[in-house]
Amino acid sequence: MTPNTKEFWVYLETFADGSLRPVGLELLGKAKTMCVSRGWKVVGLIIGYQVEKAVEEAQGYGCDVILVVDTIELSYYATDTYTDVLCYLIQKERPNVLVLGATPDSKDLAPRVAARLKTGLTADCTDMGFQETGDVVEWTRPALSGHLMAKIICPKERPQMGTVRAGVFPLPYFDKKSQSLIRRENPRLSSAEKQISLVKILAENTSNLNLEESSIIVAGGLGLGSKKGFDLLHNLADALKGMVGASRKVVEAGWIPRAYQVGQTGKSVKPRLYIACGISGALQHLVGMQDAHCIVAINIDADAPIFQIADYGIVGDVFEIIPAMLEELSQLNTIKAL
Amino acid sequence: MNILICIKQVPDTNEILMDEERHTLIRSKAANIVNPFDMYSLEIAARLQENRPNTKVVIVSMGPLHAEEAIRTCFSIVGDIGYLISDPRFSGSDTLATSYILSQAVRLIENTEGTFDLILCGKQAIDGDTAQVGPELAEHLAIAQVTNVIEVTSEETLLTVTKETETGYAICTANTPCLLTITKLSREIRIPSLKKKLSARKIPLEHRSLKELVGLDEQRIGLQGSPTRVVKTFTIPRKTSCTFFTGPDAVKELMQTLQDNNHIQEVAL
Repeated sequence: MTPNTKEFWVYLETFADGSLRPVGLELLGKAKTMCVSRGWKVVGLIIGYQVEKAVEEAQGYGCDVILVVDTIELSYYATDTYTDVLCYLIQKERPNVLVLGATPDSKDLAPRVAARLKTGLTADCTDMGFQETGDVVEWTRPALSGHLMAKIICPKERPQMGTVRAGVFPLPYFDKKSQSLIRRENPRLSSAEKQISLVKILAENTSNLNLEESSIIVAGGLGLGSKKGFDLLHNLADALKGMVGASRKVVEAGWIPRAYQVGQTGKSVKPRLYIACGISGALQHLVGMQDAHCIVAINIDADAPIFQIADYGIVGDVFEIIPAMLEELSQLNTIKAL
Repeated sequence: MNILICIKQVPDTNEILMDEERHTLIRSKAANIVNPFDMYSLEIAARLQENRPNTKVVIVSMGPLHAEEAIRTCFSIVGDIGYLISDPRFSGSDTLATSYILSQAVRLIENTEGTFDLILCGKQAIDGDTAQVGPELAEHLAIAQVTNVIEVTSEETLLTVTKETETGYAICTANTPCLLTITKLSREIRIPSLKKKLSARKIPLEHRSLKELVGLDEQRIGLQGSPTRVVKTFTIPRKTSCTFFTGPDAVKELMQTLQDNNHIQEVAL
């Protein structure tokens, strides 16, 4: 497909309540800095049902254009309809680049679209940027469980596609006065019978647990001793306005649901601050969190491998240290409030 | 029911050693294993076959000749026949080219084994970690998909599928044929019995290469058929050292450091 536009598309996924997922906005911010010197347009893509609130919000983050498809058939994510809509838009408008957040739904969608359009897709990127000359994007991603980083390009096929992890780029500033050109599309959707039908959603008691998008994570391992140990962890996470994470072993022990699991068979996270409490640091855990900007480890065992990748460490009992941290936090906050 | 399981032999990434000075990979030292996510597919298929004994399970892998060993490992859990798809001209294939070759292999195997009702893929392979080959294969075959599946039950041509979501689980029904990508199950994988291990040696394992994949477009495979290119690999040097806080003021000093470096700025009111 030859691109006839200098357009950089960012897929803006929404939560079930219709608000925009932060990762899309982070990508908008990065796309904007990439495109501004080249005179390219940044196009935000919003697909769903009753998405006006999201369109309104996206305008404040500096899209040149917002492309909207709003119809009842898109009220929840389904692989077939979303693939059809995205491919329709791409074939009609021929963007040069399309980037999506590396969320579960977008990672279900992006490879489907790439295969239909026979183009290149790079998964779970931790950086993107134009090559010095030309229109080719260089995607950076970890390989071999984070042992190696690779820079990947898609030199010929268009659009060049990538999924990028949450938390890699900062959230851009919101400008109430910023305006975007809004283009609405109404693709005809197939009326074929659905092959896959959603029967019900079983939510664990983990309201909107998008761990990947949390800037602070307090994670616990076997060192917490029991299910009850996680109460303490939740207190610290709440005080820091962060979220709780966990190692594989405590998930398997049934102390906490799987949605909290960080690591090779769980989630890959890149928060600003990761506090590992009673986690020894098996490699399978490290590959899911080693890219955190700052890692704090608290463990009774001074030889625990977690200290090898930590920025700061305290050797000691989590049941003494976490309460002391809570105490310090309340004091820091009191000082600020004065 | 006719089930196909796609598996991949991968280096055990927990065993990989890095040459810290040259920032290169010492790959030869890593043992090869069946991709852990594919092991979950085997468990799902074994369970389906137990409940419906007239189910046939076929295992396919694309890879070098030593991947035969990985298919043999799978047989000790489940599998009535295996196919290894190997050709030097496959090397350099990215996810699009790989999924295209696999789709051609599926068509070829279906000529002998009959149409597949269900195709299972591990959610991702731990060497590439892309999670793209499953959905791309489904697209080439023009069948429906469900990703991140942890449980499957079957009734005639209708499957009930439990899928892991960010906030819990979703239950879907899926008409066959379809492709599911399987993630970590909520239960243990069975340990093969000695009897099963012994009988696994007698299960037929067929080899196929490019020349049998009639109709495959050679422009779409290997390095030249892959839209993406790796232009550079590098390692990120490990952090030099951890700063330890000790003594009675350890926690105070830690929190002050985090505060000073703006790691907990949002918290301070």
